[in-house]
Amino acid sequence: MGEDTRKMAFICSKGTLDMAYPALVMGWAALGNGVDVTIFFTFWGLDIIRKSRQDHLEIAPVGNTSMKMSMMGVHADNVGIPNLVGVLPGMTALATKLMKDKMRALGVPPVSEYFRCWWTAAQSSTRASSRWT
Amino acid sequence: MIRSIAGQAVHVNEEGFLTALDEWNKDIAAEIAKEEGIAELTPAHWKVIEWCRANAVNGRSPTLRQITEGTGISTKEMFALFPKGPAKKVARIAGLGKPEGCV
Repeated sequence: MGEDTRKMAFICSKGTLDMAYPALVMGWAALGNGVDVTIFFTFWGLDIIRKSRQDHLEIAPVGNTSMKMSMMGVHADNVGIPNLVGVLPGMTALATKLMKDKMRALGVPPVSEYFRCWWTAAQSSTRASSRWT
Repeated sequence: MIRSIAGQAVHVNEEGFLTALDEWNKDIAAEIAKEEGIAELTPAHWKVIEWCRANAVNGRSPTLRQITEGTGISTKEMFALFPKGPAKKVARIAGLGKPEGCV
């Protein structure tokens, strides 16, 4: 490991679907570009590395001001999903499905597959590591 | 800027990536590979390099995941063939720009 090696660390402390991906996507891209990447999983972020949970992470529309009606296929630019609608049974499952569909369409792998890639990369180099606290 | 690689003057950017697709040839690839710490390019290396050149979009190399899916070469092998940063190394050796996507 040269002295000029860039290093990057992520801290995952949330266990929602939308908070799992930033570290995985950016960390994976960095790893491919020769950066030393460390990801720390802590608090709810531990769900990302729990086998029973990692492919069942969810995103809830309630209280999420970034979620817009347009994501549900309704053409209404900036209109958010009303919290009152978000509390309806099945809304979290729906939002989760929409996000997963979108990511599949973009070729983004599921969380568990990211970890498979991650570990195979870690076996052939020392540049990827993750820790849990 | 212009630098000489394998006896040929080529255009490169500040990170040492070739900027003109048609200035690339196999001798240049071999020499850049040496700079990246790969002593010899094996048929497996060439398979990846040629696939990337054939599937480059706007002169940019495909992403790591696109390479593993397109060539059938595993992630593990990619890290073994091009240690310490396969996405970047393949792009540079193949005379392409860094991949545009993150996946």
